[in-house]
Amino acid sequence: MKLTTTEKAKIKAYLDAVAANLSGPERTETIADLESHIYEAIAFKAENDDSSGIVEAVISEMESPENYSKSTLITQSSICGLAITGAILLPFGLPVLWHVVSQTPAGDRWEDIEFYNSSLYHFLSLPLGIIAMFISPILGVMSIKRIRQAKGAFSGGLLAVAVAVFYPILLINLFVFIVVVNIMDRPWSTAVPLDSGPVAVPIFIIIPVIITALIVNALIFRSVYKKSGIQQP
Amino acid sequence: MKSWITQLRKGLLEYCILNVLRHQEAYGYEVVTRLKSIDELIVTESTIYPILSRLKRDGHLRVRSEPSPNGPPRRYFSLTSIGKQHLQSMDSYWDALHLSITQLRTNSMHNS
Repeated sequence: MKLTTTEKAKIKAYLDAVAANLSGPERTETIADLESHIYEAIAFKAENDDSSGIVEAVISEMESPENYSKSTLITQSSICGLAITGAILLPFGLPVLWHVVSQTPAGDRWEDIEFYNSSLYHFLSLPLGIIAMFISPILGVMSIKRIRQAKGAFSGGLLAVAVAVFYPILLINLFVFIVVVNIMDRPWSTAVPLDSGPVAVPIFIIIPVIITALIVNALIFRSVYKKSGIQQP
Repeated sequence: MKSWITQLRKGLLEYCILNVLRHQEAYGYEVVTRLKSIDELIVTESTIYPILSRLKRDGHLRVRSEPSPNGPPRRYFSLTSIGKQHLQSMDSYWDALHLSITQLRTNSMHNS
């Protein structure tokens, strides 16, 4: 069946109206399928009906373009913005923590870093870092709640949990590290007398300790992720 | 009751689409027409085409275009090997679910 320019324009207008209600990567494909659908429907109708106005009839039988926006099936879940914000904030706290550790016995043999005496650190990096350490876990917890409530509309559950637990886990690790180093420097430590100079811990002890710490951290993370109740993909 | 049926239909659509393509490829209009012939499903284009696109994106379907005598090229959908596996899993789950519900119904009838 040969369509007139006006009829083609009507089809295009309908498809444009549908396209305006669609989003996501499937938009182009859905419109292509729909265009093909309309032409096939017109051809099918034309076989059984030779009256004019077939195009109008087919379009009127089609769904309202607004219905396409209601289709939740096409909606792409977006990554929760709060989790992304938390993740961006995360690194700012690291220099501050590094500085704190350097002030403890665990870091007393570290070289002085000039950056920590600069005004850039005192007036920008330090306040931003302190804020990051407190705000990131809060943003992480808020993201988890939001993702859970959104029931699939938001993704980024792993990121949210990572943001929520990053500093708590890191602080626990640092605390253990500082305590262990402190204990090893004390006189009642049988292994190392005080006057023996810097403590040299053998590599065969360091590696298992690091591996154990990583496993424990992973288990904590997994436990928090499971308890968060975020829908599994 | 109406809401329950709507939810059930929504959940079943993907399974129905894959079943249409179980033995042979089909283009969009064919898929929609076949599903529309099932009165209980009450399908519309706005639900079928997005699901077809999503299934393609997830690797369950592949698409090939072929010129159509009626207008724009027809996009033929067919199952990929992943799609076939997915359909098999759905079959197994459907059979198990159907069996369980039948048993529940039978037990209820015996108890009453």
